[in-house]
Amino acid sequence: MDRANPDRFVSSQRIGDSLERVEDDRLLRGEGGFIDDLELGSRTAHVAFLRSPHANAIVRAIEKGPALAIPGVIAVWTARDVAGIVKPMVSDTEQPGLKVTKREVLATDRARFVGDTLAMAMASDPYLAVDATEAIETTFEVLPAVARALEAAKPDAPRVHESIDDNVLYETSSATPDFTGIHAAAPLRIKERFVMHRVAGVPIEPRGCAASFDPKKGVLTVWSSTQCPSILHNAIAEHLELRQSDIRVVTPDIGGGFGPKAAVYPEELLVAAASMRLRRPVKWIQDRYDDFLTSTQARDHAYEVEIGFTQEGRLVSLLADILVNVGAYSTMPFGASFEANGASRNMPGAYRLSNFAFHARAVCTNTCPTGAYRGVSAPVACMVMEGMLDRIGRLLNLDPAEVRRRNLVTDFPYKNVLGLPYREGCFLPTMDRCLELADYPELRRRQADARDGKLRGVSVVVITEQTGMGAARFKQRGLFRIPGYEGALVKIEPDGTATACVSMAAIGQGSATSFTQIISDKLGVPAEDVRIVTGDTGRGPTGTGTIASRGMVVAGNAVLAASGKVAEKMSRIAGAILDRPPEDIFFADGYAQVKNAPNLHVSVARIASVAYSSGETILAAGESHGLESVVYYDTPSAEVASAAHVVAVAVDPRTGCVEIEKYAVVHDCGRMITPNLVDGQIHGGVAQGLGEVLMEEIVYSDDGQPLSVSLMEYQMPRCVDFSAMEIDAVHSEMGSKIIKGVGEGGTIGAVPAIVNAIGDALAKANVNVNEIPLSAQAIRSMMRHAAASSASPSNP
Amino acid sequence: MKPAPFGYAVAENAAHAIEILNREGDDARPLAGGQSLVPMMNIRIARPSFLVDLNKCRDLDYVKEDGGSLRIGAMTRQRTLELSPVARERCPLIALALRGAGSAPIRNRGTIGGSIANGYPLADLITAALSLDAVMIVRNSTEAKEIAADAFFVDSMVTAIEPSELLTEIVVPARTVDSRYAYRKSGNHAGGAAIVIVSASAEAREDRLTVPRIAVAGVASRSIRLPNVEAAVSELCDPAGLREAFRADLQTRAYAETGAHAAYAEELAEEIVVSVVEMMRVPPSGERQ
Repeated sequence: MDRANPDRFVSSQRIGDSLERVEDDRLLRGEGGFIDDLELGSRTAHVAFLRSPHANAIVRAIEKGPALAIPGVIAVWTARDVAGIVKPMVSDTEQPGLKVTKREVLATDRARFVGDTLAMAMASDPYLAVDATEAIETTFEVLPAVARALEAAKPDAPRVHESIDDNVLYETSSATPDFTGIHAAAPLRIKERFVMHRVAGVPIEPRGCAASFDPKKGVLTVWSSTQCPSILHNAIAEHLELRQSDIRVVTPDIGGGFGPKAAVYPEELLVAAASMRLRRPVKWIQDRYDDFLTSTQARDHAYEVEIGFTQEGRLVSLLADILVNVGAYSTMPFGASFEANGASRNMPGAYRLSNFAFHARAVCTNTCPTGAYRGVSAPVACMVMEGMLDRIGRLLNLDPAEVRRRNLVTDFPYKNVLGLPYREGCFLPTMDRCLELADYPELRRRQADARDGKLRGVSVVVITEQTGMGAARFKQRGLFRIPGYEGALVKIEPDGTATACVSMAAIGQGSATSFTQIISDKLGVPAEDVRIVTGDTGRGPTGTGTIASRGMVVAGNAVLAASGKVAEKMSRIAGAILDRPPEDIFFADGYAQVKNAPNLHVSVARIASVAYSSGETILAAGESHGLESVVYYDTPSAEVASAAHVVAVAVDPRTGCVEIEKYAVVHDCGRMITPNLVDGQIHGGVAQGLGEVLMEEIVYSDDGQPLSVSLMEYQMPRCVDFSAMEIDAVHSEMGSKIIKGVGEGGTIGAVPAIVNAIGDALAKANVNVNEIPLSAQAIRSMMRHAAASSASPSNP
Repeated sequence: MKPAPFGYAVAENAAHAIEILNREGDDARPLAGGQSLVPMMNIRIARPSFLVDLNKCRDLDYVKEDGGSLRIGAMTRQRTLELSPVARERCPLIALALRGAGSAPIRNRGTIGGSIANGYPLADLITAALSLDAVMIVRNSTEAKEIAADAFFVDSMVTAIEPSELLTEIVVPARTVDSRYAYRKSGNHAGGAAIVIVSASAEAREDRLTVPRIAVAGVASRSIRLPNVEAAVSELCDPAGLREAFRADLQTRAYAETGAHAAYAEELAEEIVVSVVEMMRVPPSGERQ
């Protein structure tokens, strides 16, 4: 096709328009290239891992002879085989309150959770690899194990790591000046205890990785279904002691991440090492059972809080004691302090709070390690804060919306009690718009109607989401392995098409669509002429990864800035061709066009042919060849996004089943690039929050045996569990120029909103809702206890 | 998700399948739609030595009316039966039970015989079969046996089918003009697995329900009939009487689990039994299922 043909009709995209996902045509036709679609040839060694069946055991012997005797088995590795090949993983750095532990990539003498890796079997097909793990003979001395944080923190608890005598990996506390006196002097105080269970991320595609080493070139290529290719690249270099320049990490299509795929895992390092040792391609594909045993899990918090406030319901002070279960090992790159620090950091949220004291402990147990999951600690921290605000309302007989109205931050810029700056925001307008969208007065009226015998509850919550964190914020949090920046290379090819290589991984959320839209808007190329390459350290600049609601803030801005630089050069070249000043040039629909001169234009393809000297026109003197730019983008702090959720539920007191009757979200993520994808983030985030509150639960027996090892036990929401969701967006005037993240707010809001709506419904039955999950069974049990302990028969 | 090694053969028809089962011994299993067996094999909980694939057995794929009965071939897909006009007309309870049995793609592949022979107590068809007094036809190389539902479902995942035998047909009574049906299940949430299933049929005569057949899953190691509740229905008992009868039925269970989940399931079952009887007492109005 002649791309320079001026009659060719093309249309470019604008930032802010909803756009069909550019990924979907290929994916819906089954033409995706996920990790298991990768074919590395007949010499490939397929991997299966032997996992520990015991939560805490001394490994006496691992006899791999019977496995090696199976025809087709290539190798079996135990800790002895990898000593000196793969270094142990140390996720933390020395800092106050933090005890550094290490994780051997294959257990040496001790297995610390059911799922700890004992051996790696490699065979000519994946079935034989599993057969090999079954043939390995193991001898253990089983030790007492501990699964609950509260038990693990007791002095006589079994030790998870020999070197940590109290199982506390991290402990921190902080208090604002004169906290004790101010808190004691608060006119009113309420004390409460909250318990949040453990959940799993459960991406539809479990983990997997593959590696191939080219001995002639000395290059190791690793493919992984990871959210953080650059961090994995760094970790492989460090643990295999390789040069960064000899490694390439590539992300294939990724079937969801949600946090569990943000961690660096022993399996990735072992597969990489094996491909170098065996001089063969090596491939490991995880199954769901193994995912439930070994992929990082999340939450598992307990809080003791006391809130001080005035007779008018204005906050005075908050005291919190936080206990977090981190599992058997500190997770790379987040470390042991991640959830414990996140808990306190997310508690002040959208509210004016001047006096805050907290004490937090992260305790190790004989369970699967925990790590990032959508929202990190924020959904449960907000559940605590929002739960306390509703309790204030009930005590003072104030509507929950009014309690919030009296406490929301309304003056910006604002610096919160922990020093986090909110440079702008619109928390109150967000809440008011959401109350209007949900028809809050009507929901309250309907609550009184109980003809069908159901208990109805309504909630309104306002949450913040600390998005777009950059290098400075991650270093401040002690997360030294998280670089914080993202990089983008944007290039106009000699034929006028565009290629962009972006450091972050695309995990299914449609980031290629938004990057395409930015490039199409800035450079005038049609969406179909843009190719986006994500998460390939061999092709694009390095960065951090797809975590912490940073994609559009950091990587999007990198693409925007790189596109801007290319546009500047294109404007100069177009200006020279059209004899107009570059500042009069803009790009749309495949052409450089001139302000106030609709008949003057030159196609992007023609500009490219000049820039690459592939046509008759000579590049102007002083101009260099090529049309590309690389930008590394960083943010100085975090962009504080926010959202209000209004939820109405009906609880059937006979069955305990909860039905969502209304769900409205109004969010502020600043300037939206692709609004339909923003809606998608809200839909998915709320669905995960709903799952977390009503059904999803990772259960361990007291002695550390996992009881949730399939989707039979680990129930997840389906489409039939939802009613329609109403969504609207607002932002401040300044916010219209700021891109904020939106990946986690749906979950952060849904957890407190659904919990509070159920709490509101059950308040009539004297049930105090302070624990999740709120399964139908749990609700019935709470109602039965409340009825038994309620002395007054006149209570409705 | 990689099964342990197993042998495999495709059966051309029921007789061929029985012949292969005989040849391959006690650990051989028939493979129907594979919606339960294959996932269990994938995580190596099930390790049959040999699979006899029934998917080419056209002689086991039919739904037909035969006098006062409906005869259903064991390899009939669940979705086929759910949408079958003759089944909808002659035994509406089947469609009520099947429409919530997993998702449509699962029902497209899953078979009637596969689900019944698997014996998972909370499978929709099993409680429905008990409340219909269904008869299972089980064949071996020498005979065809008729086994009543109550004798067929022995325990969780255990049925009366012996090694080298094949479930070939399910026979259910066709409806009369007076037949009433009700089917309800409850789980943690709309899209979740059932915790309790109650299935019921009866004949409405002179303003009362006669020959009530009520079965419940979720309160015992298998789906069970509720004789005391059935008697209470015949005697026109009010909800309090039904509740009392249900609790009496619970007393007669061979084995009762304890703990919070079992307590919840019993409480839930009681509510649903009462609501199902109420549903049957209301004459069908407007369109019939």
